Amino acid sequence: MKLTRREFLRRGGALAGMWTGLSQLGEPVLAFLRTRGARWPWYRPDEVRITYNYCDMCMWRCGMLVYTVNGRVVKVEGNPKDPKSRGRLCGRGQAAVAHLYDPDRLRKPLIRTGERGTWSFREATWEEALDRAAEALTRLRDQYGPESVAWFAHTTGDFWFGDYLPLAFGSPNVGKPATGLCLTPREVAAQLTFGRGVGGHEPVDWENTRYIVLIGNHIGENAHNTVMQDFARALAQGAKLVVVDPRYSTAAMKAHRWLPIKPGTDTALLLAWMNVLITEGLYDREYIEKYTVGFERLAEHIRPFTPEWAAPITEIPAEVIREVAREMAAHRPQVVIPPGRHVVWYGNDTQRMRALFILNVLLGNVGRRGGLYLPRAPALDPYPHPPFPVEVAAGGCGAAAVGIRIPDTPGHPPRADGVGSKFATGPVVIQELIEPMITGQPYPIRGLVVYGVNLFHSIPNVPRTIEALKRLEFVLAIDVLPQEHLAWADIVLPEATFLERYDELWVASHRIPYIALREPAVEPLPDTRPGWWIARELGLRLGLADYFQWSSIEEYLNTRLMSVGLSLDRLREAGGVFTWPGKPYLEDYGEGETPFPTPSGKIEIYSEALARAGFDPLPVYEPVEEPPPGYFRLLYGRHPLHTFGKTQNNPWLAEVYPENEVWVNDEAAAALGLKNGDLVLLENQDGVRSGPVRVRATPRIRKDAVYLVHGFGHRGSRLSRAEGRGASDNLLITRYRLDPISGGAGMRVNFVRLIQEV
Amino acid sequence: MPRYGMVIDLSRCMGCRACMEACKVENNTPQAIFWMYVFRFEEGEFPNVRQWFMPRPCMHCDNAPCVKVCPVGARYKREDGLVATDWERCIGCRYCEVACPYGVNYFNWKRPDRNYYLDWGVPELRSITSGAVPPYRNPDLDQPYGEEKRRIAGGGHVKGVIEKCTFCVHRVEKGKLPACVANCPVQALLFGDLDDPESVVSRVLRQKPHFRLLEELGTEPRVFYVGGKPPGPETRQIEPVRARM
Ligand code: SF4
Ligand code: SF4
Repeated sequence: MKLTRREFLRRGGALAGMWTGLSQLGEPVLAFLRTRGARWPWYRPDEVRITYNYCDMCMWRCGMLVYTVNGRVVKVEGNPKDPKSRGRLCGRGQAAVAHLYDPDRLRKPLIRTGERGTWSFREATWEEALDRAAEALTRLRDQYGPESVAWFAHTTGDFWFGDYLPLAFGSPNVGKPATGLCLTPREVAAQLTFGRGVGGHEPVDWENTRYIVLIGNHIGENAHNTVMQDFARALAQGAKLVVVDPRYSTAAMKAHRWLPIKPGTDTALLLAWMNVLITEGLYDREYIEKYTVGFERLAEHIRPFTPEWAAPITEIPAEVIREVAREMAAHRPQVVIPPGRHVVWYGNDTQRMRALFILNVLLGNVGRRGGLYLPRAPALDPYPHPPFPVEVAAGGCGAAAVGIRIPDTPGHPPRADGVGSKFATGPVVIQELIEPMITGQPYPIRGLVVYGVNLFHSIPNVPRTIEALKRLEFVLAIDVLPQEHLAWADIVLPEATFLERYDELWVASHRIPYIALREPAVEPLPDTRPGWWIARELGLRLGLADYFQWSSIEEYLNTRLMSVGLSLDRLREAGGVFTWPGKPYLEDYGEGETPFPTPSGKIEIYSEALARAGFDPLPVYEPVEEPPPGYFRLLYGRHPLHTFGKTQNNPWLAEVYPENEVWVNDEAAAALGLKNGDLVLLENQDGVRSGPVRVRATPRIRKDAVYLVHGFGHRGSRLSRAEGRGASDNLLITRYRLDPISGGAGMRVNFVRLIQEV
Repeated sequence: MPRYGMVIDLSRCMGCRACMEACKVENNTPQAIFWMYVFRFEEGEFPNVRQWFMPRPCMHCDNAPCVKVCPVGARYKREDGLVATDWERCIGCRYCEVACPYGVNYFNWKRPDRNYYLDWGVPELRSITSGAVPPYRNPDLDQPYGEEKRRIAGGGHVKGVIEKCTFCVHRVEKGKLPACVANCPVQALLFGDLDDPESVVSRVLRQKPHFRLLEELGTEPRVFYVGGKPPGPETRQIEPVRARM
């Protein structure tokens, strides 16, 4: 206790006083080191500097302190002032140092000299590369219109390449993998039900909850720092936990009940729980009356969905279903079924997410302590700029603050992703922008700017993506590492890492609304440039000077900060983070003020909007296709030390987890003559084969599914540590089921068989 | 003089290995050397399975076999309980490695200082470092520590020298927690003065049943586990281990 408090004071108040002992380095040790061959000392004493940052090793964006000595980053720590990190970083965050100093980093702008699909480039100056890129983009714009260029973006710089430059350029075709490949069904379901999105930081009131039900939400493997912290605290305070997952996940090991549900049947379980809550009168009557519409219709609708109905479907005993429902009710409103993040599973995911939200509502927990709080974003003005020619929502990880029902701007090109025809509503979905590159429908996309998105690891149906790439007239890629899709780019621009650059402020929608600063800790590697600089240089060359009236990023940031009475200096003085009071609970809203901006001003259990659009206004369960004999359903997830397909090359992370394994039920493996550690190939229903991957035979998964950690199996990259290691789930996801409501790409509809390597 | 010890709450640990990475970044340990390692276990049959994780730092034993066997006195027990290695004095005989039942010692067979990073010897990069070619590291690791003023923090990172967890002596002496403890997102790792009844470690040990690893050997470890049990015959290791045990 004493230690902790002392440490807290030290960190809070006296950061600058640390590491002052450098000059005491004695001569004997120097002499000793010299004899051992070390060139020493390489730093000038007393040059330790701390800069503020927010972590970009995943999109959770934990506040970070970066320690540099003589222009070298030596370590990172969590920023104790930051509401997300609270002084701690996950393993990936710690390894940011190794990301910065990854020897494989791109170091020069590259211009294609040979065939697309091969690594044939020559090095170029920034001037030349930018001029050429701008020329190509200008030509496409002049010839086919700005909508003929699609922009794909991920990681923090996606502000520049997903939200700012493309809109100034005039293209509505801006895709972020965080939408159609991750969050879209959840955001659309929340929008329909509550009139507001969920947002990047799931608003679970962990600290007050007594009972948690996770639906396939693998906290602990999904290592979002704050979630792990809060989840562990809730459990330590005695909260009960139920985990519904075909796989015994890290979260499941903390559960008092693990329900090994049959994959694809979660909605049936959710409906049965509603059935018990309503038929047994266990729901929150008062809450329902005060805050919701459409309950009567739900009560009618769920009548047939008894636990006995759900039991054979889900393979969870009716008694267990009933008991869990009663336990939930006994703890309400301090009970929560968190929405999870990656929810694009089966193509009917908006319905499942609606069911999940409505279950929370029946328990009366939305806007209540121990349930789902109501997040809020700080109100910060954008840097003043002329209106964009198109208005479109790219969505993204932190998109809750933005309304997502975005109509096409009249008089401007419509989105090419098929909103309104292939699916009903929501932000642009990235995977549906591939088709127009091939078919030219609804109109051709001829150019692509891809920033920080690995085209072959995030977007399903890789053969289709390759076909699209072949047809594109121009591809510009901006990245830090030589990922495989760069081999298809015409021009490659090497970006500086997040530790080497300023960036847009992180404006967090949160219980405590806050903003966080990212400032460079060290100079960028020679010939790499920050994203904002690249965007600005491109913008100027594209004739968009009106949108880049600032000449330095400091000026840009200071102008934005001015709108809330801050400046870069004041943000630094405040410790890199500035917070505002939130309005997390219903009682924070006055009479006549609703936190639910739906048409009815209430939580819409029955959705008129869905009914009008021809969809089921109340959640329904649809069975999903079963794996054929000899095949397993392919499930995938996260490893706590890796983020998607972008960290496999990180020296520190690769050292601990260099390759994924395929989890197979131990009995199923034995029946196939496989044992732990055997090498197998995975072949999917379309005959696509992965590289060799080791078997992890384990009782921690059902017999009808196999599981891979996502992001491995890099092929054709120039990533020396990641190349050829493990199997790529995305390669095996050759098909997906489009969610007709939100446009999410349901990806757990692929089947694989195991072929023993001989 | 405090008597430092660690408590590891197995019921909280989620096996995320932030502790291992925090150790890497704090102590700049070379490739394939893990002062902290998280072992992963499973038990039972579907659907009655169990999984658990066991972080393993150096045990900083009170009756440390490694200290007894060191012929040059490089391995020693400090008054505050830390088992330290004076790497300036270590002759690389590896007796300690053999004597330790917990496998926490690592020998540097190669020069470890250039393991991970860009080759800053490349001429075009020299401008950044004013011409120097640094093996870069946390400068705190090169200070002398303790009343004896011995070189114990860096663990060496020098060819021919043994190294292991130092309980982050360079942080502890400044009143900070070891890096793994300070970073564990779920606060499964606790550190403090076992002699102070108010310290978090003492309180937890009073409240919860605990065990130490290989207690029967009489090494008197300073690392206590709560909220779980040691691996038994029914326990299976989940994945190939990248550290010794
Ligand atoms: S969760 Fe980990 S990787 Fe993600 S931002 Fe936080 S520290 Fe970084
Ligand atoms: S950081 Fe904490 S939770 Fe993660 S593995 Fe280490 S002890 Fe366990």
